[in-house]
Amino acid sequence: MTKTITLLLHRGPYESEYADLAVNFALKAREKGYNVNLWLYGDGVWTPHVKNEKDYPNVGEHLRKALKDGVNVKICSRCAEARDVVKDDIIEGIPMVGLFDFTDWLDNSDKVLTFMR
Amino acid sequence: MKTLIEIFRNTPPGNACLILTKNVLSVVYGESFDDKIDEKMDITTKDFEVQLHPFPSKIAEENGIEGAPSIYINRKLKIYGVISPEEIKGLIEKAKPVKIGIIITKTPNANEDVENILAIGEEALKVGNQVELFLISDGVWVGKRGNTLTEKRLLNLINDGCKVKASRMHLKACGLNKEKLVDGVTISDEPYEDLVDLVMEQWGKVVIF
Repeated sequence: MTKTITLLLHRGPYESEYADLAVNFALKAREKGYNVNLWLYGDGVWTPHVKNEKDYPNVGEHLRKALKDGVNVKICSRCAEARDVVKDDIIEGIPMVGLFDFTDWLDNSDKVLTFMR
Repeated sequence: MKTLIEIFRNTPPGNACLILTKNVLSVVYGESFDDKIDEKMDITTKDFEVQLHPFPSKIAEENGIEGAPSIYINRKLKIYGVISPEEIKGLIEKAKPVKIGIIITKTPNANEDVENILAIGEEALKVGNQVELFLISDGVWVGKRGNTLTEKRLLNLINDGCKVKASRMHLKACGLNKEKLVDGVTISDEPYEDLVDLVMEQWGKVVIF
């Protein structure tokens, strides 16, 4: 049975390297055939807010590729609401959902990595 | 990795001590167990190392053994009294060493995180687990030679069997290279490839700091 990993990203893009670490890990794990879940929590909800092209490393672009490759990405709806991050502002195709979805992922994961603080 | 079973027995061993020894040996030898096996000797097989120690003794005291008969498995689990072969089998499974992966993403001098995570690694090794460190992002600074906070501890960990790997791309970004690293730290040319494999296939448990 294919193994599953859940990644929790609690940091925003460009304030540290965590967004890049989490998304790059997700991309590589997906490429190697694992089921990958990426939960955007706290300031992590800013990651899909990076929508435009950049002439430096672009975590939004990597996130878009991760979605295309089949990484399951979800945003904590309360964290998004607190920051006024709305659907129109972010990369398409990422559901804003309640924490229950995350605990459900935890229940069904072989491994969990948290990128926070 | 062999399972180490230490049996602590009174001198001379009483009936309970002899029954416990036989029960341990029946697990060690399985179907080929023969009642006539000399249970006064230490035994090494493909999967087991059995040591017989007197109680009281210096080794019992050093290991905090408080009574006999008792067994100490992999220096992790202490059990007092006579237990059955089935119970012994279950405990051996419980005392199997765990491979613990520690991902470090922070510099040693920023706060106490690295000191604390190294302490976790040291303790985990002490109780018979395997420990591996993966240094990525700012965590590569932990591998730097000459850091007064980390160098000695890192060397001790490596001497005790801990593998330490550092991401080449992050070393490069920090101006670090093999020559600037503590002896024994190896370099991962493809950090994400290696890390995914370690997390998903090699390590039983993972902590990230």
